Amino acid sequence: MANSALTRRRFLTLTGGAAAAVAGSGLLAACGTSTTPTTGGAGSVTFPEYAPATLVKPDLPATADGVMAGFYEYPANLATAFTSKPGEGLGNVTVLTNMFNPVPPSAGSNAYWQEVNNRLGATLDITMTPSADYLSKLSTIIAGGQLPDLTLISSKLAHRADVLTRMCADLSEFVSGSAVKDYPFLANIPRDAWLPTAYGGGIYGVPIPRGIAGTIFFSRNDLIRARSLNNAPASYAEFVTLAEGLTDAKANRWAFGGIKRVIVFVGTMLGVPNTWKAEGGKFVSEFETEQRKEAVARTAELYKKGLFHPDSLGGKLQVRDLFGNGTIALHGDGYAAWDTMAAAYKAAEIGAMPAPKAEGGGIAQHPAGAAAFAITAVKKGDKARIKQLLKICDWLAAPLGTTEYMFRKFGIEGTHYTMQNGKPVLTDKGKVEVKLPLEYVIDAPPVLGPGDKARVDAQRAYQEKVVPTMLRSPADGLYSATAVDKAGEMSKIIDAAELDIVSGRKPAAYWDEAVAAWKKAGGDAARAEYEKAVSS
Amino acid sequence: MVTLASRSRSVRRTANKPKLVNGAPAPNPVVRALKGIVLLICCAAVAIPFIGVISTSLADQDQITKAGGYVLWPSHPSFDAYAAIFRGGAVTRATLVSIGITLVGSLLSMAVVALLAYSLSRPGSFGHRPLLMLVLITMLFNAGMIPNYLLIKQLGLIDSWWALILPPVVSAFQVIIVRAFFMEVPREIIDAARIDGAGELQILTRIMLPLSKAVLAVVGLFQAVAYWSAFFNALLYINDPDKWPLSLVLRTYVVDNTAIGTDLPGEVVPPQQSLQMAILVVSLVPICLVYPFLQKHFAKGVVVGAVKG
Repeated sequence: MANSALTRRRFLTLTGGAAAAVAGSGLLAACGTSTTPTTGGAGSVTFPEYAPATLVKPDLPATADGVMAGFYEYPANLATAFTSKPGEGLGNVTVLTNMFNPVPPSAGSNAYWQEVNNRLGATLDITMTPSADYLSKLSTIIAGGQLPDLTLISSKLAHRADVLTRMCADLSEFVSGSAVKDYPFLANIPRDAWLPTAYGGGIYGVPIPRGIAGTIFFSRNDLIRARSLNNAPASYAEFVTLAEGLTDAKANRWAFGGIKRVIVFVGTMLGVPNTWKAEGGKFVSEFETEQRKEAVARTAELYKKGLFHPDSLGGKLQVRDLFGNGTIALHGDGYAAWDTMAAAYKAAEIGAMPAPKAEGGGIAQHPAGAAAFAITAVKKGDKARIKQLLKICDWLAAPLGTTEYMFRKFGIEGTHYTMQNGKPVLTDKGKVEVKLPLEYVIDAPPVLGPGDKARVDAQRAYQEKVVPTMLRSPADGLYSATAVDKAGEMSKIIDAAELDIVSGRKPAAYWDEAVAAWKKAGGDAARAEYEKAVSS
Repeated sequence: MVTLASRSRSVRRTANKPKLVNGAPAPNPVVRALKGIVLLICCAAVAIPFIGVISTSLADQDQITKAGGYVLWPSHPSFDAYAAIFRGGAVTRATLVSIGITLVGSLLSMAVVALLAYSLSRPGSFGHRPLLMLVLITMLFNAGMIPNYLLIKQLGLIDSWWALILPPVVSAFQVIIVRAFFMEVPREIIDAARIDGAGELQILTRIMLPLSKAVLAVVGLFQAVAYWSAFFNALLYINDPDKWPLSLVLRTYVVDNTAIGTDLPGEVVPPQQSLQMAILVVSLVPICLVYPFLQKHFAKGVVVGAVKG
C-alpha cells in the first residue's frame, strides 16, 4: 500500500502531464520526475484465456481471428446468466466514466438505475462526465488521491502506467490464464482487447472491447451502379478510374470528402505498416516508410485531378451528410457507422470497399483498429472486494441473448421497452432513463446486428474478406509515455504536412522534412521506449 | 424694391441650393442606394446565421441530409429536437439551477466587487497598493485546474453549488472598472459626507453606490453572462447530475450526442445538427430576454469605465 500514498510532490508528478495536456500548462510537469516504468510490456504477462460464451448461439458465430458474431434477430429465448446478485454485500460502488448520451435522471428519480442496483445487489454511484471533458475530470480525481472503485482510464491519460501501477489493483491473479474462467463473460472478451491492460508485468484493468475491423471505406453502391462503374476495384488504377467516374463537378458530385481517410486507404493498398513495423526488435514508424510517403503523393495527385470536394482541405465538412445525400460517393468511417448511416440515410445503398493491392493481385492487408475503447481499472483494496467488483464487471459483460444484456440495454420490458416485430422499442420512459453509460464501464464484445439480414450479411462478408489478414500494430500492448504525452504535437506535424502536400502548397519531397521534425518532436523517443519495452 | 430680375435670381439660387435633411445636405440617391445595400449585407451577415440556427433546429434528418449539414429554411418544421431536449425534466431542472446560481452569484459578485473596488479606490487606505497588485496579478496568472480542484475539495465544496458561485465571484477586470468609476466621483462630495458625520460604509452605501448604478449594471451583466455560460467548474466540482447547471447539461447534447440515427423501430433520434442548434436557441433565450432591460446601463457603464482610468 505504500505505493498508493501520494505526497504533494508525487501527486504533481502524476498529474502534471495530464494537467499540461488538458490545461495547456507545463508548470506542474516540471515539479517532479517519474520513477515507475514509462513503458508497459505485454511480454511477461499471461493474458486471460479466451473462452467464447456458449449461452447463446449467434446466427453467424465469431471467429478466432476477430470476425464479429452476427445476429439477424434478437434471440427469442433469453438465457439467464446470473442466478445470484453479483455485488451482494458490496454496499456503495463508486464509478467514474464518460458518456456520449445526454445525462439521465439521477438514481432517486430513475427506475432503471434503481433496478440496476437491485439486480446487482449493490448501489452504483456513477459519476458521469461528457466524453470530451473526461480527461480533465479524470486528472482532478487522480490529483484528489481517491480513485473510485471502478475508473475508466482514457488512452490519452498522460503517465498512465504510473497511475495504474501505483493507484490501481493488479488483476493478474484474478484473470490471468485460466483464472478468468471465474468470470465467464470477461473470458468472452478476445485477447486483442486485453493488450492495453498490461503495464509493468501486470494486468491493470478490464477492457471495453471493440471490433478490430476498424475503419471501413464506405461506398455509395447505388451511385456506382447508376454510372455502370465497378464497386470492387482490383488495383490502384481501377480505384482511380472509379473515383474519376464518380466525380462530376458541374453536378456537385465528388468521389472523396476527407483527406486523411483517403491517404490511409491508398496507404493500405501500398502496404503501409499499421503505425509501426518491428523487425528484429527494431521499430520503424509508418511515417518513415517509402509507402507512406507514396500514399501522400498519390493522394495529392487525386486532389489535383479534382476528385475531392472543394472544401475538403478545411476539415469542416459534414462528410456523413454529404455521403448520405450523394455529394460524396466514397467515405472512410468507423465500422459502427455502417448501421447508423444506414438508419439515417435510408435512400442510400451503402457498401464497404476493401482496399486492393496497388498493383493488383488480391486484397491488401488492412490495418486493425483498436480492439478496446478504453480500460476500466479497479481501485486497490482487499482481494474479496476486488473479486466482487470483477463479478460486477462480469455481469456488465453478459452478451446479447442473456436477460442481463437485454435489461442493461433496454431496461425492464413493459416499462422501458416493448417487443414489436421481434425488436425492442423504447417507451418514452425508456428513452429518458436508459441512458446510464454502463457500456462505458464494461461491455460485451460488439456483434453485427441484430438488424436487416442483407446488411448483416454484407457486414459479415466484408469482415470475412478483410479481418483474417489484418495487420496488427507491434506497439499494441506496449506503452510509450512519449507517444501519449506528445501525441498532439506529433500528429500536428504530420497532419499539416499531409495537407500542405495534398493541396500542392509543398512538393512531395517535403514529407522527409516533416518526418524529421516528427522524429525530433517525440518519434525517436517513442521508438526507443517501444524497443525497450519489447526487450524487457 | 424687389424687381422681377432679382426675384428670378433668388429663385435660381434656391433651386441650386442642395436640399437639407435635418440640417445636412441630402445625399446623392446613388450613394444612398449603395449605403442601403452595404447595410443590408451587414444585416444579412448577422441575421442569416441566426435564421440558419433556428431553421436547422426545426429541420428533420431528410432536410439536413439534402442540405448537406445546415438548413436555411425548414420545409417541414419539426419540434422533435426541442421535445428531445426537454424530455425527462433534466433541462428544466438544470435551467432552475442555472437561474439560481446566476442570481445569487451575480448579486454576491456585485457586492464583493463594489466593496473591494471602494477600498482600493481610497488612496489613503491601508495597504491598498499591494492589495491592488494582488488583484491585478490574478489577471495574468491562474492557479490551474488541479490546484483549484484541491482547494475546493479541501473546503468541502465538492457537489455544492457554492463551488460554482464562489470561485468566479471576484473578477479583477471588473474591480478595475468599478474602482476607476469610484475614483472619478468628486472628492468634495465625499468630504461633505464625512463632515456630515458619515462613516466609510455610509459613504459607500449612501453616496457611491447610488451614483454607480450604471457601472454596477455592467458588473452584474458580465457576471450573469459568465455564471450562465460556465460549465467547466460544474464539470469538475459537481458529481451529482441533478445539481448540474444548464450549460453542462446542454454540453452533453452539443459535444457528445453523436447518434445520427438508430436501428431500433420507434426510437426516432433527432439529427445531431438539429439538437445542437435547438440547444443554442434554448441557451440564448434567457440572456436575450434580460439584455434589452440592461442595455442602456450596459452601454453607459462600459463607456464610463473605459474613459476614466
